[in-house]
Amino acid sequence: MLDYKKIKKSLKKALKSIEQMELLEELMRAQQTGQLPPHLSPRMLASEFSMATQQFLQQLQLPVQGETMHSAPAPSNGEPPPMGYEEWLKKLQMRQGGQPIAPVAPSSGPTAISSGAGVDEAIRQSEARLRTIIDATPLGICITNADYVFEYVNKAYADIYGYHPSELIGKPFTMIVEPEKVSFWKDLHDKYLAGYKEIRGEWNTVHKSGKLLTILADAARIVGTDGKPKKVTFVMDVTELSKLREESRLNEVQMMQTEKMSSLGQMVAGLAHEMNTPLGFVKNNIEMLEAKNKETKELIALYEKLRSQIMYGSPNDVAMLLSQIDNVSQRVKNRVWQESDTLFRSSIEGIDRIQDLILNLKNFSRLDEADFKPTDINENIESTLKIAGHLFKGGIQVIKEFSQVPMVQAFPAQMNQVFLNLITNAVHAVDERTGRITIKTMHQGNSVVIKVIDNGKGIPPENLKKIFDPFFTTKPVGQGTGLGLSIAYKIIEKHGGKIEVQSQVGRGTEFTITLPVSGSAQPMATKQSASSPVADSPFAE
Amino acid sequence: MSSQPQLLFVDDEPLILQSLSLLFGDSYTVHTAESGTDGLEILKRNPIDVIVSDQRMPHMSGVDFLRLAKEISPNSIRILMTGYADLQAVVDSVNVGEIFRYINKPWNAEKLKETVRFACTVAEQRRMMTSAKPTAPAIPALQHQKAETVSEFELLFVDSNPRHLEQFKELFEPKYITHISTHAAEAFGLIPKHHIAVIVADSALGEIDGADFLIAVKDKYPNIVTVLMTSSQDAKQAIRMINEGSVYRYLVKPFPRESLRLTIESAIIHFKVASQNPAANLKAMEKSFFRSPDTSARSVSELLAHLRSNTGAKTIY
Repeated sequence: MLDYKKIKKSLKKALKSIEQMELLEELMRAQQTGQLPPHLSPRMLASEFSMATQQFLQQLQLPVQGETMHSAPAPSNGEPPPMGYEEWLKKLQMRQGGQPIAPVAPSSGPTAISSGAGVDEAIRQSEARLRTIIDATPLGICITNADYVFEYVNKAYADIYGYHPSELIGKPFTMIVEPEKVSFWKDLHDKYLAGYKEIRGEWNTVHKSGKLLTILADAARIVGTDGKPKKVTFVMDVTELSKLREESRLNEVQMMQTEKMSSLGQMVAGLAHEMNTPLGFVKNNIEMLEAKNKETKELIALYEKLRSQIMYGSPNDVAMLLSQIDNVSQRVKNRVWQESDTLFRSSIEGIDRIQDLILNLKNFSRLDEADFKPTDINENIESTLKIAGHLFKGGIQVIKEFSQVPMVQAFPAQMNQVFLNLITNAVHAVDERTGRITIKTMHQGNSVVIKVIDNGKGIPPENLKKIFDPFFTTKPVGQGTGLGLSIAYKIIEKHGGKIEVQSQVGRGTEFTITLPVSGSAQPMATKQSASSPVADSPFAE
Repeated sequence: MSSQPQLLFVDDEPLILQSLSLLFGDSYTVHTAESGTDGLEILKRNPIDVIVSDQRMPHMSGVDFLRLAKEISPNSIRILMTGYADLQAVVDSVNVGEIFRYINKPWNAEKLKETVRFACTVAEQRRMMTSAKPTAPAIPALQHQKAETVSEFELLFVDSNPRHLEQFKELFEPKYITHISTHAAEAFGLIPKHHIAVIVADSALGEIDGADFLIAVKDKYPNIVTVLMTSSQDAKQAIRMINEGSVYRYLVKPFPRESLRLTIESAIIHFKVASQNPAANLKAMEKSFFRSPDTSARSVSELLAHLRSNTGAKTIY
């Protein structure tokens, strides 16, 4: 069994990590969209960085120690749009390839800060404040110089690698990279300081214990108090997250399986009832007819005795046998005998019904068919409707408005899973007496459009945007996994189509699936093997 | 009206009704209904001895129908018949429908006939008792007894967790004398020494299953009202408890304190009725009806072994 709580927990954890990463992203953006001028001054950097860090801390709701330079500015463009993790990664990758930061020009700012005398008091204060903030942030920050040496690391940075700051400062940064990649890192560091390459992204580094870490890093160039260019690196440990990502990929496979099992369970319950009902009367009929058959045989045996007694026996014997025969035939001719024709008829009808169910089950599961093939959507909906037939008992009306539609390249079994899900949801949404479910198919341009429309209770707008989310369900515990629609969404997406929903509370819901006719989604392996000569060969290899 | 016993079959499948009518038509007056609503109408107009209803029906489920049927005709014996046993339906059928038997489709014609025949004799006796004492309702409504008076009835709780037992004791004392035990065998030995009305057992009792324990108790002491507490989601066990153990209530853990209290209150009333009115005690009647041999078995395990060897031979569901 799948432990939903555990999955939910790890998903929540992942979500939280993503949120944190978004914060980090925002920090980096803020830092960058400060449009770091080519003539970078420590003062400007300090103020910008402190603003960004402060914002970051505020969002993390950590206490900010000491005063800050500016009253916290709100993010200029309001809330960042909520981003999916994948979307986020994509963005990240795009950016990684993109615009390099303008190279740092030799400092022309107030580099005079460098040595003791004439220190700008404001800057000193600002540095003190900055230091306080940097020490409090959970973001790892280090400053490395052109000799690859850590000039500064904050506590968070040292923590990520399992060191104390004092163990790192003054040492080469190569102690936290994989030994075989030292030259690569040095090279990267040089290039970065020369201003050529952006290094934002995920990297592997090494913990004190030798454990491999995955970090998310970004960097900035500054000019140090000694006038030399330095690299400031911001690091976040995402080892856990990348593990989770892998886990969640595995979980997804598992979840698909669970949902399949859960809908299978519901289907089995329905089918068991659908089959056991005819089995009930067929078996009972046959047991009654069996008893009848015994009596009839008895009657025939008596009749044969009678024949011989008529020839050879006494009239008394004949009379006795006749009365016996009368008795038995009286017993035979009860209502079961009178209705025997009906009993046979309805037994055969019952068996036909069971046969039909089994046939449809086979059609529905498509176990004996090639996976990805030209699929007649109308036919698939028909067989799904038959499987779901037990749901429509009562007053639920099903209206089929099928048009001639071209074949679609699809996995029929998966399509059926989607249809069954939409139909089941519709049945659950409508009133048992007045429910109406309309299923339409249409050929529109280069697409086949399927609509499942119900006149049920509708979906409130606040839920509408969540219905395709995994685990979102409004059904009581145990009655829905909350996975059905999210899987439907995945399946349709995989087929290069889209699924949309419109709903009005109290009026009903309309799902629209659009599938491309000339299968733009051509799952890899299938096409290849079809053209393979071996597949066409009449011989077994 | 005819003197034949009267049966009511309720199923949304007409061919089931046709088949059952023919099975029973010779010796019974058979009524059929394709819905619970129609069934209730028939019940209002006819003295029905035995009701056999399907569970999965549109508009009104079998359990819902039987609950209403119990109000209209409390003396009728209720049997639920279904093509698929989902746990909730089985549990509700005991706790809400107070059914006599739970039968799976497809059924065995001979066994069903035996079961219905027995159910009819129970219904007949119940009716005679009620008409003799028209003032006493067959099953009195739940009354709240004054908490100060110590009840003459004693309770026995069997649970492998002593902490649970303490909680039960706390909940029911001093109103009831409450016995507790962590072992089935020990509990079994306590029964003859006290005036026990209700036994509540947990299904996980270690070496002996709580369900088996209650079945053995019911066989040896048919008057005692039994309640099973379980956290298992096993519909089969629940059906067995109905059909073999005549269990009074089937409590799925965790349940609110209050529902245990109410269960005990109504179980006590049930015990009173059953001890005053033998026809209300199905298990006792069943034993005499099927003449199941009494054993000299003294311990639970002996009794269980005896019961197991016997169940195969039983014609009854």
